Amino acid sequence: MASESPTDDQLIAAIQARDMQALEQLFDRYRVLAYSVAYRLLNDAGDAEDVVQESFLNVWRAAGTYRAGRSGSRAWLMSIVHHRAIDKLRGRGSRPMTTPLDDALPVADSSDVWSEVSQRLTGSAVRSALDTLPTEQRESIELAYFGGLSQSEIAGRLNLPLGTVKGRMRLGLHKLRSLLEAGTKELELE
Amino acid sequence: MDDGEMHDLVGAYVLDALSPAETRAFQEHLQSCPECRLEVYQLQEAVGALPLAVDQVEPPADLFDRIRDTIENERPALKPITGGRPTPRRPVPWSYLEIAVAAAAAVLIVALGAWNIHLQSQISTNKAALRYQHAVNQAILNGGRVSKVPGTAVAPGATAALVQPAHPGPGYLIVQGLPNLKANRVYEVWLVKPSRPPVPAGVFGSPGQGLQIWQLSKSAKGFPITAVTEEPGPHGSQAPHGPKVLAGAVST
Ligand SMILES: [Zn+2]
Repeated sequence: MASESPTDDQLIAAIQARDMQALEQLFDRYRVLAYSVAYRLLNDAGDAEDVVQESFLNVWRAAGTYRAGRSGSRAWLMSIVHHRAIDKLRGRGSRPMTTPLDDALPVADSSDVWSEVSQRLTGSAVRSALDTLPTEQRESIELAYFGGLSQSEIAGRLNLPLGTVKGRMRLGLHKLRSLLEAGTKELELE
Repeated sequence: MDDGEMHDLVGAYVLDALSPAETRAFQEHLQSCPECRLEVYQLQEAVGALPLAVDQVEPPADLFDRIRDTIENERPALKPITGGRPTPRRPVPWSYLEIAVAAAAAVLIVALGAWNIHLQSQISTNKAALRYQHAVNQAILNGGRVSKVPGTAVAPGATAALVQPAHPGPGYLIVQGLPNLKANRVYEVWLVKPSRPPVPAGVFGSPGQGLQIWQLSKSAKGFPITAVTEEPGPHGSQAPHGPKVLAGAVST
């Protein structure tokens, strides 16, 4: 019956129309992923629960800002969760949204290739792609994403010039994207 | 920071690793740099995969209930559909006893049918109104329940019907003849279970003249009584304090 269940995009459209059951379905789909990321960053169950709760309230209120076909629904949702968790971690209430979710930033839709890639991804595929990255790139990405450190904090901790850290994060993410794409293509060939 | 340095922030930006000032500066840069916009989306795809690499932890089972409660307690304003001319109704005296008595004669299909005809002639140009009217008609045809909600002594000229579709979606309240509100007051709908605090189901503003259909913020299923009180605007109250203007038994 999985093929008959609504897509994320359909659920988000229904949420826009104030459909509470659609919100619950989307929550059921992502609750573990969202909670796990928040927990990893905050290392506190109560804080992680707050972050997931705030994130889905945000989804309820901001479903209208989601545009299908960009970075994908999972990336959108997880960027909200990550952003909220970072806010909590750094004790800031009102940082600007770091993900351009609004119409003010027109951009070409991301490739259809990626949406296929994204659907096939598994935890072990992502972990092995991370392990394949040059160590210094992986380190910077992990300190930022999972450790919640800012680029300046990472530069300080690794005793590196800020420019080096910026470059590693940018290059590393490009590399990661190609590795994930290539990895799922290999899966296809098997 | 020149443009070249700005482009270099894209990785830190999608990883949430910029300070608030850097974030604002980069967002400003994005407005004028299509290359960076595209790169942001590309890198967000990679970042969006990172959560999969985390050890998966099960959240508490009641987490969604808390989210739903928070949303429902925000009591968003009901969607108003107005139209028609006022039709004075016979005053309906009200008492707690009469709520129970009214249950027996709660179904008001005949009156509602008349209202429908009235609506059709008055607001047929309003697409949203027709959609609600259609929703109400469908609800009744498909086994929804209609309950009369009479005006109280405070609002003897008012009358209402609550329509609860058979499916678990929100109910509709069709109201007529409510007194106009003073500034900064609203009408708030309550769903009541015996010996439980009334549950707020939405607020609506000055009803003006004629008939309105309001979509409630939740299903009335399982609530044997509904009431409407006057409360402070714009968001109403957590519990009813103001005078009851409508109250009746509900059959859902
Ligand atoms: Zn740029």
